[in-house]
Amino acid sequence: MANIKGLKIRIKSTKGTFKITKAMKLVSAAKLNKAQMKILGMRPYATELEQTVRTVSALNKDYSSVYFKENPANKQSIVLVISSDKGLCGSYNSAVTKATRRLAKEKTDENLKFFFIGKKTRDLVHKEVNAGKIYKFAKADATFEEVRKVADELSTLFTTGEVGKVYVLYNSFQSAIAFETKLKQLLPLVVTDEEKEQLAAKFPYDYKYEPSAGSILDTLVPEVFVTSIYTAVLDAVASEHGARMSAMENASKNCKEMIRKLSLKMNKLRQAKITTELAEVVSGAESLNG
Amino acid sequence: MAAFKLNLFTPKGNVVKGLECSDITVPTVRGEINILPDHTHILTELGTGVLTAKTSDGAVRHFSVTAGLCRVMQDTVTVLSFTSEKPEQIDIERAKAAKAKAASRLAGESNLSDVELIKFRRKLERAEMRLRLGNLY
Repeated sequence: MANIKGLKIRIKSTKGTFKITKAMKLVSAAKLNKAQMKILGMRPYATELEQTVRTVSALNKDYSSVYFKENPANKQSIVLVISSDKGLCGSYNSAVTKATRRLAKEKTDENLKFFFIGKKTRDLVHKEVNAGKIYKFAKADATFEEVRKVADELSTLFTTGEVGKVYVLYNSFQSAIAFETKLKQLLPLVVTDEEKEQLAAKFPYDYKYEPSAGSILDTLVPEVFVTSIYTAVLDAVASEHGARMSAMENASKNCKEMIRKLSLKMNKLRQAKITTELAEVVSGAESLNG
Repeated sequence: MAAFKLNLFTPKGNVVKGLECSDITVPTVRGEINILPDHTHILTELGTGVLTAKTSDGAVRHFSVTAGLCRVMQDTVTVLSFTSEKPEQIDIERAKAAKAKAASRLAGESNLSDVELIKFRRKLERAEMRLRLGNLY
């Protein structure tokens, strides 16, 4: 029966796929490990830095910097969308793409321009939205210096008044199997009056500043911006590996299940063939004995 | 003895967290400051140099720090530094080579741009700091 041969070929090819998905899963697991260490190491630094800047700016009401200045008249905004260059990572890229489309539809009061890191989402949406530049890094996980260049470019656009707001859209890493698509406003750094009051209540005493609150903020605020983008990139890289790992884990499971089903079917057919042949031989012998 | 906690965070991870200290010396942009228990709240910019911490059990530990900030609050001192190394991580040979290289580039100062001048001065500063720290170990 030709069907048995067909099944055999399918089993063989599924086994090949299984090998690939299993290997990809292992590679992603190793990469996830590294990426996870990076993001978890980065987070305390980034949160502490941002908190400090928020607190100090809340305590020093007369301080003003171009980074804090809101400009409601300027409707031009930039959204930095972080997706991946590679596929096969489950809902990772589609989550970012969906969020991008929704954003483009909902924020109609602002003139959004989308910048990209990672080409997957860009390839999907660049015809529907106002797409700007795409940034590429030498390796999938960017170094701090590479991110600093991107950040400098964006902050120059902001400080020269060309754009009014800068957002970042990325998948934030939660655990190996979970991520959350987040939109974060990076510039201007907004500390709402409510938050100011809360922070001021929390810190009834002011700091002693060395050299002065203004000069500390002047150096720290740009740093917060770079750090936020770098954290977003690290978050995205870790989520990507996590998403790919679980996607490949599922694929491997499905391959196994498929191989099991196909083998069962093939064995059934083979057994049926043997039984028929046996019956033929036996009946042939019977007729000879007559 | 009164003590406070020291946190030293860098983008590459936490170097120390909640280390019980009784006395630390922090390099700032305006020179070194010494922090003892019950210090007033202070927020300052970090300079390049060696942070020395005396832990409550009497041990002395050194860390290198570069640009960042130092925040003293009640019973915690939080230091955010762009990079930080422990003495045992320092490669003295490499630091020596870096120092020689930076010094030789600075010697021919005339053909350096301002940006380069600052860059090499910082490099020299960091290499010298590493050597100091490496020799402490």
